[in-house]
Amino acid sequence: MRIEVKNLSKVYNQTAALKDVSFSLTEPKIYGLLGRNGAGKTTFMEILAGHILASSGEILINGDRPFDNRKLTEKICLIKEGDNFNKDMKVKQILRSYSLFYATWDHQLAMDLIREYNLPLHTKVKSLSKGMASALGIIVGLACKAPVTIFDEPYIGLDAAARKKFYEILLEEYEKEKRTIIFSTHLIDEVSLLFEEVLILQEGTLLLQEGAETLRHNTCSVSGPITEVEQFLENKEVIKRDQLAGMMTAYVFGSKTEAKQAGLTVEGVPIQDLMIYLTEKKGA
Amino acid sequence: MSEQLKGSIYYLSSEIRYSLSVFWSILLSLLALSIFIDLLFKETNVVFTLAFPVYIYSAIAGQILVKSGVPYLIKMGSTRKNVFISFAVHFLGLAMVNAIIANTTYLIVQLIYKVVGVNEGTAILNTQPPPFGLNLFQDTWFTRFVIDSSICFILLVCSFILGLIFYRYGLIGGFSTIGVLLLLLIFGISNGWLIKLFLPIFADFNLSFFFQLFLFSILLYLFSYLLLRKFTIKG
Repeated sequence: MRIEVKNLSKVYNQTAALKDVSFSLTEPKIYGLLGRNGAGKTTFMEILAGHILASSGEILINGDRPFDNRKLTEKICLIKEGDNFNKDMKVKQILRSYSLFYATWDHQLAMDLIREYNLPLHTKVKSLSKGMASALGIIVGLACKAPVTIFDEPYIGLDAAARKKFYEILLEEYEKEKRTIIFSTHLIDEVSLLFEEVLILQEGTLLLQEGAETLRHNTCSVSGPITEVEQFLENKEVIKRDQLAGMMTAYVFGSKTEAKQAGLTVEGVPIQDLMIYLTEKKGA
Repeated sequence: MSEQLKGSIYYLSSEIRYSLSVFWSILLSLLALSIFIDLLFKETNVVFTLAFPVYIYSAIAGQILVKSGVPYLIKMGSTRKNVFISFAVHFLGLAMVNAIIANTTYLIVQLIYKVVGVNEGTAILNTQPPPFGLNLFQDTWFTRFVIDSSICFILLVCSFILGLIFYRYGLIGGFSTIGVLLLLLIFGISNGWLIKLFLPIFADFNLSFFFQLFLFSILLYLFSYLLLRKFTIKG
């Protein structure tokens, strides 16, 4: 499904959560939507899912607006970090409800995941632990097989092993059937290898949209004597510079091979660090 | 019926099942206790009404369902139109189920008193509010069912609309609405136009009033679509 974001803005009580954001998600891919707290990620995802309205601008999915559009809302599933389900309902009732809403619902997968995460079917959501409630969100998100599946920090309270299992299943299901998965998380290091494209938001604006592989190849950290590093940095977009005792480390958009040829120590920049450095850079 | 509408109705019926069963368990237990006390001490005169608790439940349920129903249905991908239709079906069903349980219980209690051979008048079970001039109607199961279900339905609708106003416009909007309605009521009574409006209805009061009440509830319910149309989820 083609998602076009056109001049999207959202203002809450005079605070702008999104400021004239425009971009397109053209292919079914795993997109990493990154940014610091208050960057506007959740607001964007809520508008995309048709939960809220934009103040101005629009999101078009295959040319249509998602708000109150049945044709689209039954193809979008948003799982947030909490309050996804009515706490007075049982796990079984939640699964049954979602199975009626999503024509693509995979009952077998849901049951397999229920066993995998050891969730009690006849227990109310309010009686589940935080991790179990997150697992239920993940199960619903995966089993609905919606062409646009959005995970907004879906695993609060899940332990490392359960998160790893989630990444594996997500990838497995994605390999079986490609769909647009938008993933927003603060545990970027854990999931960055899943991302095919990365979008970074900062204070309501789009800072970067780039293929994950391109980012990995075209960004590097170079270290060496200040003069040599400065010489290498000429005419290059520098993300961050650190100096200590005559040595300099710089994070830069540039070729690793070129840096190696310049005799500098070269390392890759993890996406998490890149996000931190980019969002630190004022006015970037 | 679309799968989404089925899903919405399934969701709402699952959501209300627990509170409804708790409500009726308590009410029927109290009724059983009252009958037991009445049969044990024959000189007592137990008065027990099923109708008023049902009305109170209806007046609360509509408002509660706004918070526990509408946002979750939208989160599941329901359209506002489907939310509107599923709530209408749900309220109608809930009003009828409550009226059926209340009036069937009334019949059962009457039967128990007959079987036990105690004067039926000892325990008075009102299933409809007393001041409506009940002597004008035939006191049948169907009459009581029509009265109770129409009153439950309008109460559900009113509390649903009020719940939507509170959800969308917060405490200020909600209490302002209640304030304006109270002012209109006081103004209407003091000026007499409200009395003039209702006088002809009560002068010729019969069962058709409750059918009219039902139609009025439907018209009132249509108004709720204006509040649902741009309903957004609050974080």
